Amino acid sequence: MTHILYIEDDREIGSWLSQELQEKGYEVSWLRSGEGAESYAHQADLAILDVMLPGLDGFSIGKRLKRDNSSLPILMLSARTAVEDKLEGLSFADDYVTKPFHPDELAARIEVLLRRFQKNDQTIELQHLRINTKELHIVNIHTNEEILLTGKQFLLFQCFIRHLNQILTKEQLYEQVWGESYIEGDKTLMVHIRYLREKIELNPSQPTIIETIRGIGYRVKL
Amino acid sequence: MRKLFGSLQAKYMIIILFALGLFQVAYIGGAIAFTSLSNQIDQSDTPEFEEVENSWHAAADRTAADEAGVEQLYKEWSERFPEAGMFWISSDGQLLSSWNVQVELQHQWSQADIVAFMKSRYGKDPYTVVAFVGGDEQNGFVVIELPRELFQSPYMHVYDQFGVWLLGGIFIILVIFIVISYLFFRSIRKRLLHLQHAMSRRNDDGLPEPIHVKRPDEIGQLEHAFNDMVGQLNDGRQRELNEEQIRRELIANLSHDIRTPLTKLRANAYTVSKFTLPDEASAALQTMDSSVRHIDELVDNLLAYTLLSSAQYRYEPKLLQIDRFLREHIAAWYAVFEQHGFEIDMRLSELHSTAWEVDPIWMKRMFDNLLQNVLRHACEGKYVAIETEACQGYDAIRIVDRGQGMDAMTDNKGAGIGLSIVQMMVEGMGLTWQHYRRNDEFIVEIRRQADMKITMNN
Repeated sequence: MTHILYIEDDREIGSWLSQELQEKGYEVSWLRSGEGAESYAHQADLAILDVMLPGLDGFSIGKRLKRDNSSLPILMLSARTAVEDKLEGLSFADDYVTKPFHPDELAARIEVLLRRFQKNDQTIELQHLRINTKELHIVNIHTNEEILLTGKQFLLFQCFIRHLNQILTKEQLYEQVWGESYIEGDKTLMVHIRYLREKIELNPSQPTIIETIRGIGYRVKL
Repeated sequence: MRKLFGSLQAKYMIIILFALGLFQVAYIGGAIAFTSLSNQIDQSDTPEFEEVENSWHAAADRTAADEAGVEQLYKEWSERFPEAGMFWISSDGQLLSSWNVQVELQHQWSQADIVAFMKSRYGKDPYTVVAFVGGDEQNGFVVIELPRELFQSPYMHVYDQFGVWLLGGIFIILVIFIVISYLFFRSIRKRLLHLQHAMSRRNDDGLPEPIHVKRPDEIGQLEHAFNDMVGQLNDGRQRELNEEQIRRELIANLSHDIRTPLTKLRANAYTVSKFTLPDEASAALQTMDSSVRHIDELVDNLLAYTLLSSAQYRYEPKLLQIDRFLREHIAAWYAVFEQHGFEIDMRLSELHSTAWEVDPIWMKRMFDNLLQNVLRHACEGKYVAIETEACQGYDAIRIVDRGQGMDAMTDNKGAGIGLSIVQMMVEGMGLTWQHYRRNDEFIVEIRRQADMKITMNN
């Protein structure tokens, strides 16, 4: 079970969100201050931190947790919305959500972070595909056969799975997969997407898994 | 006293006085040297024209009209004037003898030759005197030629000998004066330039830095005054930073204090919404939720507006690839528009320049406000498009919707803080904007002048 370390001093909000997260299937350790956070951090898959806390503030706690364990995704959840606060938060944290937030939006962001950091061993079904999001093991449900991808196709699909439901622009995809700046007019990405579609789509000429969002980019929608 | 001599004015006066003194010393010294040198030359040795003429006449009168007598005359006068040239012409014009004559003399002289000779020597160099031998015309005449320089005064001799040195000395004194003046003004110029450089240098806070005062003269006093001004500016800046920090803290705390109850409100509404509720109760919960969202945006806009209007909103321009920014920004908004059933159109055409020197956070905030506006006030049109176009003299980004436009009254119309923020940010980034109708479409157009200069490298 995915374990979330949640630090929030407000009793009402803390209790409500802990319950919501537990209902969504997470194990939650809720603390009302940063005291003792380190002892929970080593077993946590993700940390959600408020900023204004008694004693050490959320920024200091977050920096400390990140320093001790860089693979721990940290989500700042704060009522402080100033640009300076967001910039300070995002200097070490992986996401910054402002209050009042919608629990569904928070849950979606938690999922994205867990996927990005490969913390959840989740199997999702995407049309005719069954995908293990951690190992990116892809099986065609219709034939029960595994779909094998080449190196770049794997990285490309991994990128889509880590950013499920998000539109990724050509530049973002190219930079994440090839690790270089995208040069306008380069067809490499399109060619690889075509090959990937040929492997995973039922009808590659009318793709339904990797959507083309005209003028913006591509998206894999769950 | 030290203060007096430490001043530039005093130094300048010293240089002037030194120069004047040097000239005086040079003139007086020159005059003394001249006089002493000329005194060394025996003035009695200097012949006079009249005396020479009379002596020559008297000597010629005394001379016997024979070859030995004239030869004796030559010898006597050549002892007194070694440079003298002499010759004897008989009464019938025949050259009888000559002594130390530099030019070749003709042997036979006509009357016309004699007259021509006399005319050619009158008042010229050499000085020439003609006298009859033995005082009788029948004995012919003797001529003596003396270089006129023998008749010059001792001063002239000294001048001829040492004049170049004198002029050279005056020239050297002039050069020394010019060099000292140049060095003096160069040191002043150097210090003034250093001061100017220090005044134009800025630290991280955009303030000049104090400079090291080396001398207590007028420029040193100016440097002290400059340092005092820098100190006052730093104090002012520190006060400003403290006030800014207090204001930020206040705003952050205010934001926190308003948002925390809003979060609780939303949490409770969400919890209640999970139960099976009558339609009216569900509708009331939805209204409550949208009101919470609206208050949240309003608080956010209000705080941003306060910061912007007091120039406290952080502005950090960077070179932004505007086409990429638009794609990524619309990608982030896509799901929201899609959820509301919008048709989303992206029409990015080539611009004069895609590199815009703007603050990405400001741009994001500006487009968030404009797209929020589309979502809130043009929802019935179900259409949003982002266009870019290179127009005559400017690049344009257009947000197109099929709503009623900004002037129309809608249920959600507020005080327009969101658009005021857009207005201030557009101006702050050196852009312009306008809104207009095109058939059934309402357009917000943001313009950037094509010739706008980029000041940064990356």
